[in-house]
Amino acid sequence: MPRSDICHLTAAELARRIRRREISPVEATQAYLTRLEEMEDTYHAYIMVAKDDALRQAKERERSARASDSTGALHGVPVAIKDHIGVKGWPSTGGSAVFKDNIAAQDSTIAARLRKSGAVILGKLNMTELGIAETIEFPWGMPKNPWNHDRSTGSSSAGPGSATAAFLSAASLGGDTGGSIRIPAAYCGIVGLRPSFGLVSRYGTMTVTWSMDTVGPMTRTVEDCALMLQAIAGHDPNDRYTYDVPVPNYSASLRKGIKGMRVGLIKELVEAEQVTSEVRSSVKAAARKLQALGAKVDEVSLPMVQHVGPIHWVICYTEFGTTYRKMVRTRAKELTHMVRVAVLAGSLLSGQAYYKAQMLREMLRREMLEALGRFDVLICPSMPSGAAPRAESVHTPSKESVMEALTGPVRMTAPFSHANVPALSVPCGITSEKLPISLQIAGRPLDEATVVRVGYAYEQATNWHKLRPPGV
Amino acid sequence: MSDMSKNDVKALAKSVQLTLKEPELTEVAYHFNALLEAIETIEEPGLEAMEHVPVILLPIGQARRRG
Repeated sequence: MPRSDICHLTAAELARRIRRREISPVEATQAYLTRLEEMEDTYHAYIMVAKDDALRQAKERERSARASDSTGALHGVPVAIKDHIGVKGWPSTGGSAVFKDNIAAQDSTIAARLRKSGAVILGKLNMTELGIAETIEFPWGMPKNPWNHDRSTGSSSAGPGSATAAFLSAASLGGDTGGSIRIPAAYCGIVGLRPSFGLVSRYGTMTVTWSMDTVGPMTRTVEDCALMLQAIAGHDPNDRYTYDVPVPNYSASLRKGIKGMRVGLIKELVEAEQVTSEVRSSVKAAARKLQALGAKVDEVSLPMVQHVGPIHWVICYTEFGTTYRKMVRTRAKELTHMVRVAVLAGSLLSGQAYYKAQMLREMLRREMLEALGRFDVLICPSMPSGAAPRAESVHTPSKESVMEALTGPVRMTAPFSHANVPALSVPCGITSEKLPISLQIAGRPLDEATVVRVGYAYEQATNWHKLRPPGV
Repeated sequence: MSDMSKNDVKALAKSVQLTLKEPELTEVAYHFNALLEAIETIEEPGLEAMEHVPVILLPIGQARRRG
């Protein structure tokens, strides 16, 4: 196989070929490093490519494969991780110049688990500064959306979205607070999973919004997503908010089909004013496809999701205002403008506003969990439209513009973040402007197995995941 | 509800040891007033009976927690 074609294999297929010794870990890693040399200057998907270290890891994988037939599920597969995830000896900047000299003293739990699964970590991926807000100021270059370089890549896991869609990593890890995995996944036409809060360790990762941050896979297929999740999921004694429960075999659940499953189509999110007719009709077509595959699809009403914008942003602003309270008093000038304004505003919000948002969140959560008692999964658009045009200014022109932004794209993704349930984004269409459209599938807490099972059944019955961005 | 003026926001910032100047002051005031208005104007029946908990733990039996 020509080296350039290796990068177009899915992570699962590459892992199979490495296991069969048709491709070596060093060949796979060199293929990606060559592609990165040729294309990374265009995409700015990475903050750091660890060329020498990646080759060292790949050689080590070759040695260990020769010594033993028993290797991890991702043995020799080159992956990349968002820059807020610590890797021993590598910079961890969180996309901020403030942390440009911050070197991780040890591996985060998930980096260590990726290594244990045999993955080769190629480097650290670009992101919006500190994972906050949709910004156009990137200290290490603006990540490009492979589908259209003038459109947003989505935030905050912009680098993982760009790298995975442009075949610059076989799979990636991103971080999701209110939609930071699912938004770039939808805009870049890939698969992204926000896992249940507490399934994946956050030890050794940078905090944005403590009560909602998660880390999850961003991949080209649902099968790859299941593999990546398997590698990183599970209890971690270093993260006391991880559940000590058995981790199911996600890959084994994929092919069980969805006959008899109950699927709820969320009325308020499908019919929301911001949802374009193209997106609405693609999601309804996806619902019909699930029905054709044997699921029972009914509409469900969740009125509380209409309040999610204010709930989400009051909680986020307050929590990141708190997380960065020292920095904003000493190094505010080093932050980019949009992030500085957001952290400063978050520093001023009252405890009463925060707790009212938490009370509303609890109402939303109860409503969603009640619905998930009647349905196996809930579905809706991942994003209300194809990738949005990039913002042109870093400045906030008015209070009204902030009010308008509160009901922006996170309206589709944040409800599941606040309910602490898993949510998967899978491609389900293409707009007339040739931009990806995606379906969101949410499930019960810790029931990622059902979510990926539904996503896989849909993916296998359609061809949307096979579409490639132009020129890649 | 009426907005806090820029001077009010500046004074509030000072009370938490933050110094706000232009160009940030005007934009911080926009964000602050928008967020407060958006959350304060939501009224839902039953809201006052809700607990304000940031993270909900699954019931024992669904998950055993250690910590």
